[in-house]
Amino acid sequence: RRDVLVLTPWLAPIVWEGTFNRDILNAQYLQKNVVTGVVTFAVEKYCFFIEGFMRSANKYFLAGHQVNFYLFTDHPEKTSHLQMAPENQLFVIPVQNGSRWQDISRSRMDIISSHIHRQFQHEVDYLYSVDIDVQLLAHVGVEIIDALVATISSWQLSPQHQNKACETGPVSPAAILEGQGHFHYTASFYGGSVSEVYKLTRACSAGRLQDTESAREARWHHESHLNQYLLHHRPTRLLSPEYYWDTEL
Amino acid sequence: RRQDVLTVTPWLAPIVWEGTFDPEVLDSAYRPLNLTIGVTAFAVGKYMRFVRRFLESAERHFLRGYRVNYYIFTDSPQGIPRVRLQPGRRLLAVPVHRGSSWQEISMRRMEAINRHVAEVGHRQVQYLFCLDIDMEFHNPWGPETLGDMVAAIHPGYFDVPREQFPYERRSSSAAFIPKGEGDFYYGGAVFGGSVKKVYEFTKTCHMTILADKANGIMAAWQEESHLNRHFLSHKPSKLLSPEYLWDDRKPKPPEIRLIRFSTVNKNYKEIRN
Repeated sequence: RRDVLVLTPWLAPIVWEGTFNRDILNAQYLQKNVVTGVVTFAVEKYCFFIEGFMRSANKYFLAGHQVNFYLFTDHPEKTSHLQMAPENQLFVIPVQNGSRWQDISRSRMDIISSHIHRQFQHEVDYLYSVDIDVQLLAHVGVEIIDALVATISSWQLSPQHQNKACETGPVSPAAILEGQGHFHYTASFYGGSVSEVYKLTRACSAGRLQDTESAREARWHHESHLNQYLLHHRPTRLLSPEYYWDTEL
Repeated sequence: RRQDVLTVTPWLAPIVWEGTFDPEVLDSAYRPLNLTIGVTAFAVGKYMRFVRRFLESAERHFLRGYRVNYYIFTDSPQGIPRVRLQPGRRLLAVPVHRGSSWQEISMRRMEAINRHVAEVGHRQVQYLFCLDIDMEFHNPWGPETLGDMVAAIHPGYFDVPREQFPYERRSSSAAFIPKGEGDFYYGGAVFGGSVKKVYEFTKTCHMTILADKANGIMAAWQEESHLNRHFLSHKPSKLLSPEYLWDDRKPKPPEIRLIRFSTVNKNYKEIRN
């Protein structure tokens, strides 16, 4: 690929279709003998997405390798009929309902970090947080496996708007990446080794959200904390916007 | 940004060329880690004459500002020239036996490095580079080179088709690589990584070298052949372009913008007696 940036200034590869050989990577992954987990939240109206997410994830997410799905939901009864691929496992973890959007968003990082500490670190080596309203349309394979992995957002920001919940429109992939290392990452898909994700979620747990904020603003804040962390703890691998293209576009 | 060369391997390991990285960004990431980086180099017999130039040029260019331990493996520790080192950097002599031939010395390197890492290295350094001594630094060699398992592309073969790589082609050797296989031809004069990975790698290479010895066979390019065999099945996490392992006898092609580390011209017949 010559049309896009494939390496960051700190030598982290940027994963685009055409930059890697999945067979070689699969062989390496098997050599390592590791297990990967996915953590996702389905609260209130987002329960609608559970079925579509699990169906596409079973088909496309690390297909052929063991994946543990950890689904946090306030409607566990909506999960009883879900079919998993034979190599995958589903863990349904009930969470409390009735909280404000702001609380859920802020405490997501809290929930993830405490569960890593309590449970996940004993069950998986790599962990990815994926938003439930994501539908995978193509294979997402072991090319995503590395110490600290973030996805470049398909939304990019103009510098003067970075403090407000205000985004400029989508930009072409090549143009996004001329920014010389100033990437904006989406909070909808990130992950890495369990220890790195633990450090990240712990660091991002802090942060107070205001009552008057809308859901969109709260989500923006959540993403802002993530970006702030990743500015000082640079990802070891970046996923191109191919890996999370916002359906609003 | 470089569009004229490959900068990422198919297994998503970066290939380090001038223009692919920002030295300040990398420095800001690595300095706070308070690392000590080790360098091993063998100066046995007549190869002692290369030590001064190696060390003096390393002091100018190799990981400036970082703590470095130079481990000089030699049969005459008293003969190591006194070279002034920057603060935070020191030289330690590691005694070894003189072998019966230069090939033998070359083959025993893996064993010696492995033993040293096990006994001492793992306590003193986090990363280790194993370099040839008959070389000189000409330009910065910085933290862009640090990684779990690092190999360098051989200057003679970076733009040559795979069939022409001088892999060991006899199937009776443990270093055998059949035609049609292989990613790159790596040079034996530069390799490195985390101490853990270097330990594992030198152990495996030593094993395959011993296996060949038991079968009365010596690989085409001694340990370089075994190194290439190892890196085929255990791919490096980072590759250094030939900027980091150059041969001064070769004319400089346009892809090579900067020569950082290269051979010192010498009379081979005289050295390898």
